[in-house]
Amino acid sequence: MSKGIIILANNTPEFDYASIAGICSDFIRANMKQFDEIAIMTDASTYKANKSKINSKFDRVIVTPESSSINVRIFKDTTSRSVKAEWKNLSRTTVYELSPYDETLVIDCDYFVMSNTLDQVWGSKSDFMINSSFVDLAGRMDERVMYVDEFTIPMYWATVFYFKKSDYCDTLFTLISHIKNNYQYYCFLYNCQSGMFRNDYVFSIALHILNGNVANNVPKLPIAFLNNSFDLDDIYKFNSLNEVIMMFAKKSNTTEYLLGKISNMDIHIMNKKAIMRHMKDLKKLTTKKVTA
Amino acid sequence: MSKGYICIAQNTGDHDYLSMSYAMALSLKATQKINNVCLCVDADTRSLLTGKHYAVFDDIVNIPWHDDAQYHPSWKIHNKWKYAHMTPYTETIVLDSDVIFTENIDHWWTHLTKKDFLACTNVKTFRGENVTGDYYRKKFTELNLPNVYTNFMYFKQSELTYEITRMTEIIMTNWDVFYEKYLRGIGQNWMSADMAYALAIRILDVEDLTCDYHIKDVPTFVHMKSYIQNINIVKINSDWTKSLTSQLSDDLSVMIGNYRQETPVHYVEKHWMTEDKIAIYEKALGI
Repeated sequence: MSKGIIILANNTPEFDYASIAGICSDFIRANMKQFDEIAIMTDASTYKANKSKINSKFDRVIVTPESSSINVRIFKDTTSRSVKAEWKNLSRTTVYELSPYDETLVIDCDYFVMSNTLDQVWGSKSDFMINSSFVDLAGRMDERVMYVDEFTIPMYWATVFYFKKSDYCDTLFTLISHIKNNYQYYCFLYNCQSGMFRNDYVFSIALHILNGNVANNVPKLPIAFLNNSFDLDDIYKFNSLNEVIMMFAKKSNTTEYLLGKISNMDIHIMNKKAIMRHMKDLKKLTTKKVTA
Repeated sequence: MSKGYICIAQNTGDHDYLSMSYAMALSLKATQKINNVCLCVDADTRSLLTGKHYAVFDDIVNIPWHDDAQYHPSWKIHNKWKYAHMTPYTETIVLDSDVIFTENIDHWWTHLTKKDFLACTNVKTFRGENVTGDYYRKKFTELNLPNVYTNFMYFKQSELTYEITRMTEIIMTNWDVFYEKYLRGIGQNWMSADMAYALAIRILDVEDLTCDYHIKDVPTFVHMKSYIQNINIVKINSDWTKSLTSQLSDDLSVMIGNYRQETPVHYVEKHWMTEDKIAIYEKALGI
């Protein structure tokens, strides 16, 4: 049984996702041990422009066709800045057919693996695992589950998920593709709050339908929730490949921050500008680790 | 040992409880193998019965003694202590008129039959989540009353059942006295069957015999009061049908807000049950 991790990264004019994915891969290699390969799934233009960098960081490159449609969303960088930028997120639904592995763990490039917990997915009895629960590390949100809309189904986070080549996943990803291809209809049916294409919504709808339109009990990842740092937070410093000090925007006043140290625990850092600001330090950190 | 369901229908000026009971009975016949159903009526409602009612209800019983609800034109719950006297069955599940069955729950009887009396103490949202809010039950919380829902309540002919029935009768027929003595404070001051049975269970100190808080799924039902749906109460209309889509399909599945309903549904809003929906049930049963 081959076991691979796939990171998705498609560069846009605003964000160098390929570099972020390279860092993500370094964190995985430093903390997880029980996989065979790390692959990047990227579009042809990103690969062409970053070939040597990508080849040096990944065991395998899966090149996808350029997306014909462009998604645009607002990216916040703390409360002080925001930018409307492209977001190429349409290829995730094809990861099942493109994965060469028997077991695949898909990880967003802004998900920093700082523990070996996700190694527990390999050999799972579950064909598919994903989380709907999350913790807002800044404590601004008390909720543990977000809904696609308050009147409809809970949202699963397609940030990290595990799948096995199986009949169940064949059906699930066929349905996912169907929903993606008829997104406006399903968006209307499920009252999706954002008109923007979101993989989280597509996965949530597919899981709900496949479960017979009743309450879901989808197997969860080894840590049953995502540790989310939302984009109002900032990064203060990465101490090591297992520790980061974050600046969490306060609930009472989001222009003020609380320092919080996250150690030996995976973290989903949504402020991509903050990651890019720390790219130089991160590269030094990962190089040091490799040299050591 | 006979098993069956019982329901009181007393029409008011505002609501046609007979039609709702008829719809409930149709849904019961269409989905359950154990589907005996007894309708309890007052004289006025009995005069409205037609052939279709006699065809669907296995037993039709006159509410005995006098009609305790006769001076309450719009809120007729005052005869609800009489279930144990009215039922023709050895084992009975009490239902409200505005309940429908969506899937087979015959297997619940296996669990229920272990008890002499078992009240439903856990209800669900349309998403199938356990209801945790007490928006409509402040007094239950304040007085730590047994969290009883009589919309789905089991009893068998037994000493315990008649003790509870007798105490509920005393409470319902002397509501003001019991309210003053036991129930003053925040929350509702009007009589409800849930509160009367809860108080009877408390006074008799039989909560451990009649309530099982550890088992959340039997018995239970989807309770469609708006403000317990785990939706921000600012966003949902007090009439849930104005905020959530719903449908009864030809295969008799009930969808509410993208969720297929698996347990009985207490739809609360009486206008939800329409002639069209009743026609769907009748067609499915060949009536």
